[in-house]
Amino acid sequence: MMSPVALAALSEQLATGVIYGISLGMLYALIALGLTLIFGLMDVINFAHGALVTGGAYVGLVAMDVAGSFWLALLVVPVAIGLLGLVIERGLVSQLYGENPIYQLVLTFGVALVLEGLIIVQFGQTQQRIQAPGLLSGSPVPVGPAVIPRYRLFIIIVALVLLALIWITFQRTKLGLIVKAGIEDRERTQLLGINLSRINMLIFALGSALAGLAGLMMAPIFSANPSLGTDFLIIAFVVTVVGGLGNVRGTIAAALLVGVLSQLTQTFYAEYSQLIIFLAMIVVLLIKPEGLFGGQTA
Amino acid sequence: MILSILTREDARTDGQTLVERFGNSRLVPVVYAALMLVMPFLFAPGLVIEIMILGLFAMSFNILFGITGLLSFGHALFFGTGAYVAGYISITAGYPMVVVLGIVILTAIVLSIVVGALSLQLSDVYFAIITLAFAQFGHEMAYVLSEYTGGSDGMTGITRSSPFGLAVIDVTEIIVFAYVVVFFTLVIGLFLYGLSNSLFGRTLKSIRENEDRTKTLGVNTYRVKVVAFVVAGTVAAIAGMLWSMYLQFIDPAVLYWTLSGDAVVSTILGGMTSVFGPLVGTALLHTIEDQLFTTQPGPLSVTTGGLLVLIVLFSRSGVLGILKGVLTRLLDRVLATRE
Amino acid sequence: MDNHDSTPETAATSRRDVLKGALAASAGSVGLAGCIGGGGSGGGSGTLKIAYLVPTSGPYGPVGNEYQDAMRMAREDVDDEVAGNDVEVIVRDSGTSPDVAVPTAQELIREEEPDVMIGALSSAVVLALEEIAAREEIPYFGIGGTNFKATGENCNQYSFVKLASGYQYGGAPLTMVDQGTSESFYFIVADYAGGTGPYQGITDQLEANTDAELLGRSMAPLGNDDYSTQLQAARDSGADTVWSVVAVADAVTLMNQADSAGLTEDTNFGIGISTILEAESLGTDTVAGTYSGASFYHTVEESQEFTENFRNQFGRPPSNWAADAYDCCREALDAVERSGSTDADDLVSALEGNEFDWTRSTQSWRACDHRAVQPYYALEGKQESDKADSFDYYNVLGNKSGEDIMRPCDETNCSL
Repeated sequence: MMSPVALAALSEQLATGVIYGISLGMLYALIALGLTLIFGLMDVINFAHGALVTGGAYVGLVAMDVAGSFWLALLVVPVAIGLLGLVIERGLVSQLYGENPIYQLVLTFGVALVLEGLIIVQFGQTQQRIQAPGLLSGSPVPVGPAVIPRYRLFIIIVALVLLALIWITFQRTKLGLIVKAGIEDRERTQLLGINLSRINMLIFALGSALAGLAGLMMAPIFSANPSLGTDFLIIAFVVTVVGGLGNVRGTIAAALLVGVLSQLTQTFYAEYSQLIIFLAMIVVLLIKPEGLFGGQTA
Repeated sequence: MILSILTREDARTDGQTLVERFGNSRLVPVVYAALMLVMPFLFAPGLVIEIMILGLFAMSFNILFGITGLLSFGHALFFGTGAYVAGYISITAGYPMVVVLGIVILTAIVLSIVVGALSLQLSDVYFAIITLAFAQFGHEMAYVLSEYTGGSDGMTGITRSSPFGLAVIDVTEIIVFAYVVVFFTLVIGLFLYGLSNSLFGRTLKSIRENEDRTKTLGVNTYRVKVVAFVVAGTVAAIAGMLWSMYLQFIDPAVLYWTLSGDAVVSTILGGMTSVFGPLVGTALLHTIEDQLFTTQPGPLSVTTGGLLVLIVLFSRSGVLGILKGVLTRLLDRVLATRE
Repeated sequence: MDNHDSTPETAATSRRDVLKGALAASAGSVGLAGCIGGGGSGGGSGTLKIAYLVPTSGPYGPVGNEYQDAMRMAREDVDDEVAGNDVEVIVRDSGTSPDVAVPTAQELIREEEPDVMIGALSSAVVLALEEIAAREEIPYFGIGGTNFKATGENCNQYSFVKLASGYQYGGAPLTMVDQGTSESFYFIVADYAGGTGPYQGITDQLEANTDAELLGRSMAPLGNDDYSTQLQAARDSGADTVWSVVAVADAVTLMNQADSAGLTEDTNFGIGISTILEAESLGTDTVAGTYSGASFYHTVEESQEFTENFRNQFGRPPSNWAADAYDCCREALDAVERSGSTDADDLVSALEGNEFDWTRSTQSWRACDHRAVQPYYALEGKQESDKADSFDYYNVLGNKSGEDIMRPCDETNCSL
């Protein structure tokens, strides 16, 4: 039996790990959601997604320099990056629809290189600090046995609201129905006379906007640097695979799972935490390639 | 006189242009061989070595990508494994290069059978992702096994063993080592060239075009793909071995996925439709960096990415393909004026 | 704490190109100030060739600039000719990791045949360059290299290491204990040799010399940017001082997160090496009330002359990086002057045991392992209102120096 003190310490560690894990998972969810929708609908693995995240952080940096307000940046960034995504989709990605997906992968990889290069040219490679607004800084807040910085809670709340909105849209609106149908069976949906190219644009723009927003939100924690998004992209791939490509609910669940898992392994098995994530991904891919929660068949 | 030869009827028989006939002839490997043998004299040996080794790596990647239609984002796993195994052996036991080569090949075969057999059960996109996962897993292992690999400090003091243990071939002299590397790249390149034109190679291309149809012809495509994977992985591991001998130092960067990304770029740039295309692409990439963007990672990235996008959209056979196209049109014009 | 070990995942761009080695290698030399000597291959026929391998681009570009400025000043502070030799300076980009630095160095040696090499930032690069220096028999000064191996198993007669070792880092925590600021410690340690080494060194010293309580440590895996678990563990330990040994790029992120978690207010939070450059990235508000250490600080009295000269030339006071680079370059030139030759063995003999005070109180090159014997200061971040000028980020609390904060010769595993 553990002593009460040890038990209290353990429960605090667990609570902290879980809550931090959820905040991390929310960021993963925002990024992975775009990835999974884009793949589900258009069969495109968007390697440029990471660069869009990074772009979000830097656009936020500029917005804050110009307007001095983090809150304004929160509005500006998704719009700007969403537009960027739209341009990429219309101008480049759509040229390769219907072909072998590996060409899309290469194309988006090239786009990622271009975006990252432009960021380096404009901003250099040193880390830049983005300050969270005063309201969200300051002394941490007690949540159960743990003590959590306000900014982390902010991330959880904002992401939760956004994801809920998207989920409701998918479930309740006609638009959402069309998207789901398009993901499930592209050809049949088109046979019904529905013009999917507009939907493609919308989804790509939405996915990009979410990625950009995630980038802005993570910048005060991780500092803006040109490879900010790329580091997260790999994990985002893990999440989309585990959650099931094209499966919205599965992706969100997987994101939280991965976030919490990585935090807890860090607390207890720090040395192996990265290893475990990739091992988990390999195992899931081999045993249940359609994802833990089901998705498109491999 | 030469032009009259060109204008002879049989220069254009069976519907192929002169350039195409040349491209399919035995002359091509000869030309490459000649170029490669001459390079160490014309350029800095260090540069030649890097182009050769990384070009070899890209060529091995292209066995999967251009020939079989499989995008593996984890090819760095084999390069890095070859590098670390070779490095470890050279530090703990000073075997001559042939012995190290043998061990590296054996290790690579085993590893690629395991990884390939597992990964190839998945299709297209999932295959790309799982190979990425395997490579990142390997990358993390380099840190976990830091007792053997040196972890983030890397493995120093790797000796450059001479090919057969004979002191007469002094590989510590860089130009000698450059020729050893050229020799390896040439021999393996020619092997791959032959492979690509063999029945096996044609089977792979058929799988790339239409796997289902190939299956109906009675081919066990899974097994064939695994064999291709093993060949690709083994060649990559040999390139890795040469790399560790060149630098005499290895660190986990050789296992990071961006190395695989470099192979993708070089291959697309040079031309994924030809065996030697990736080598040409590697040389091109090095030259671009060298001449234009020495300490400017930003513009370099923009240029590389931009070229990638343009090629994948407009000219999938890469620079070599563009060259062929230009040459064909030039010759056409020359021939036309003569008529 | 090793601030500059290659951290692949936080600098994926620099990782991108194993190819980059070739580009840096075949780039023409970027000459700096200093007369270009006439023809003559390296070696003693009238031209002394000094090669600098420093980051000229990328995330550590600013540090590389500090190095170059300082070394330029060192070159200019010396006569045109040194022991009858013209001086030629060659600069190459070392990148931030060995897979760039190693081919660059090898190509550099083949093409230019330098007489002396100075450089590198990351421990891994220093280790690799030490090997090359030993193989090619070229005196080499490592401006990085907190790793014990650099003056331990990896040591060789041609390599000298300037940057404070992990062991010497102990000087800052030791000072804080002496002054009563700290009674208990908790550590956040990057999980690789560049972190664990200094952690070992600091805790060994604290145990041997003080009564301070060591309440444990939390490992931070490489490639991880989220320090929440480590920070929580630090808070839970109840230590009054939290000291972190992580790479400099990560230190900024760590500090931000520590600030956000309120830890910098509730504890004495230290981030090992941080002087002007690092403080500029963090901002005065974050730096105020936190602690750091360095082997040089520009307000220290013995450093005034050097600081004045540097400030006059570059409009800003020197950071510890600049001071170390200056020392190495002056020492190289001085050794040639004193020995009258550019021969490697002569230079090594001239350097071993030599005492110098170009930038601060007396330092020397310890003969048994070629590590620089130097002071180490504890620094406390100032509030905005206390700053004398925009560069005045820290108060010097005190220092430890010399062999007190070094491993005894017989414990280094170095047999010189």
